[in-house]
This record gives sequence, structure tokens and C-alpha cells, in this order.
Amino acid sequence: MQVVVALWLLNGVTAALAPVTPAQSVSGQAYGALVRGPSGTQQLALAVLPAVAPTDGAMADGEADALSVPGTITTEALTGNTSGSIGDAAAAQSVATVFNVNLLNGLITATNLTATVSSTSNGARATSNALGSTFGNLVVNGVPMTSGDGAIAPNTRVNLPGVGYVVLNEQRPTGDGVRASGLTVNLIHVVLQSLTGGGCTLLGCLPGVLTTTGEIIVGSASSTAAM
Amino acid sequence: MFRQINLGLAPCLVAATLFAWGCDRPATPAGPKPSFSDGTGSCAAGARFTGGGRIDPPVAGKTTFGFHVDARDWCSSTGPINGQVQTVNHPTKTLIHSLTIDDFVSIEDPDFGRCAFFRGTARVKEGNGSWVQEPFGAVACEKDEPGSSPGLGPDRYGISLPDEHRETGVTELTGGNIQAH
Repeated sequence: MQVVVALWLLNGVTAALAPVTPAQSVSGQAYGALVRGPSGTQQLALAVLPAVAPTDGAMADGEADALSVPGTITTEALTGNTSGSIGDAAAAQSVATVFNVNLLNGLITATNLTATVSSTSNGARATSNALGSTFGNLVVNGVPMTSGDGAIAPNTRVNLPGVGYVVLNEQRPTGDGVRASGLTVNLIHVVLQSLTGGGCTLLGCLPGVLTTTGEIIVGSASSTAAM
Repeated sequence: MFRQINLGLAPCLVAATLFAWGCDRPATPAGPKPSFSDGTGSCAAGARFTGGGRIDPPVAGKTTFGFHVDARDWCSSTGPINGQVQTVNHPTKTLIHSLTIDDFVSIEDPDFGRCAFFRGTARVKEGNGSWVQEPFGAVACEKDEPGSSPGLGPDRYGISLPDEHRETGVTELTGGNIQAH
């Protein structure tokens, strides 16, 4: 009896802590670029979908002429837009575009980036995809990754010695695939790292520890849909 | 300039209408043009359309977009049309952002599905140039869910800037989705 009561209580606590997802909902976000470091965060061309009521729809967009953080990132025009609606199905879609990207003094360059995601749910099947997400003439550490407008396999990681690493076409799915689905795509996600500690003494050597010191995300789009 | 004159893949009403907008010509006899003249055009396929994504028309090149148009008041009593459109044509680095949406018609098309035609004025910037204001027309068609799949379509989008005869043509989505709701 005590066990049953304990389980009942635990179940109640778990239910209370579980996130509550509205029965029908859509969300979306897109931005051109984000730079986060010790000196703060910059985010340009941000668009966040406002709350959408059942049987309604909405859109948000952002744009910027350029971004320049010397030694870190320069780009030309950036745009983001996100839209969503709830009708027979719930649907959300987001798009981010960036022109002439140059990261870390030419370590990563691209003529243009396009991040496109969409999510739909009809209550019985929920899907998301990143169709249309491409990199224009992407070069990483001197190595051409795309020629013209091309795709990169999801979650492609490339180490950047002395800098950290970059994940190309980073994709983060969410949802159960039945009622809800979501997807975030970050076309270029640079994780900046530095080696701290470590060294050798008479007693032996200790390895250093890689510490994340910042990140750069260029071309980010996300969407979720639940019904 | 982005330009798409070849509409060979768009044989019916939708193509005729966008062609008429883009080239400022009357629609073909086989393709009756929706009437915008009296402000009470048909809203047979719904009064609200929402979508975003990407098209890759052969001549105009990669074009990305997002929009939401709510014409419920327009369809019921010629009230205002709410919403906005953002479109980027990548080869020409042309950014189009609506300022007003003044006309709206929606129809059921046997080939294209539920289609909305809307037009108004937009601010337009090409490359590093200055913003200019000019009229635009757009077409969005919902055929099925999801709106894009590996391959092409089934949903479609197109935009035109009739002042300089620039248009994408009504083109199947290569990413994203359109919803009539």
C-alpha cells in the first residue's frame, strides 16, 4: 500500500513538472547570425513567430544590411522569416538567408547560405524537414565543401585546429512524430574553444582541458507544429 | 534582374494570371483572370494563406520567401487586407518587403490546388542599392501536405514586380510549405 501511494505521489509530481504543450500549436524562429562570446551576444535579422490561435496564422521577419565583428564575422545582407498557421493541420516554416559570409579571417567562407525548415502535424502524423537548406561555395579551412549551391550532410563536424570545431548543417529534431514535430537547423555552428590548464611537472604530465569560450551561428531556422 | 517568361509548366488559370500581372497583358481567353476591379473578388479557396520556403525557377534562380495574408474582412466587406510578404531573389540579391496588400482573390485550380493571388506595394532593394517603392503581385498555391518533399512541390509560389517585368513564374517549392486556412 505504501508503495502504491508513493508511486501515485511520484506520478503526480512528474506530471506537474512535465512541460504542457497546447493541443494545437506552432512556433518558429529564424535569424541570420548570432555571435556569443565573453563580450556579449549579437543576433541579427531575428524573426520570432508570435502566438498563433487555432484557425489563425501569423508571420514575423527581420533583416539587416550587414554584420561586422572584426576578426570574427563579416556578412552582407541577412534576412529571417517565420510563419505558421493552424487549420486542418498545424504548420510552421522558417527561412534564414545570409550573403557573403566570412568567419574568423577567412577560415570559413560562403557566398550565400539558405536555411529552410518546415513542420506539419495533422494529429496523426507529424513531420519536419530541412529541404532547401544549402551552402553557396562553402570553403572550410581552405577545403571547398560545396561548388555552387549545394547541400551538406546533416551534422557534419570539422575540427578547426587552434580554434575549436564547426558543425555544418546542424540539425536538432524534436517531437514524437505522431502529434508533434520540430526541427532546428544551424547551417554553420562554430564552437570556439581554448585549452586551459595542463602541463608537466617532475611527477608527470596532466592534460589540458578544452573550454568553450564562445560560438558563432550563421543561418538558423527552426519550426515546430503540434496538433 | 530576375525574369521568368517561360510558363510552359503552368498551363491554366494560375499561370495566365501571373503572366498577366508580370507582363501587364490581358489573360489568355482560355484562362479567365480573377477580377480585382470591384474589390469583391472571389475568395472561393479561402481568405487566409500562410507560407514560407524556397523556389528555384530556372531563369530567376533561387528565391526564398515568407508570407501571411488575412483577407477575411476583404472577402466579406471589402475591408482591409492584413499581412506581409518577404521575398529574396538570391542571384540578384533583391529583397522585396510588402508595404501594403491591396487586392486578394483565391480560387480552386485543378492543377495547382487552392491558390491565392494578392498584390500591393513593396519596398524593393537590389544589391547594395537604395530602397525603392513599387507594385508587386504574388501567387501562393497549396496542393498538399507537406508542401515540399524530396523532388519538387507540390505547393507553389511566385512573385512579380511588374514595373520592370521581373517575375519568378509560379514555381514548385523546393523547401517549405504553404497553407490555405
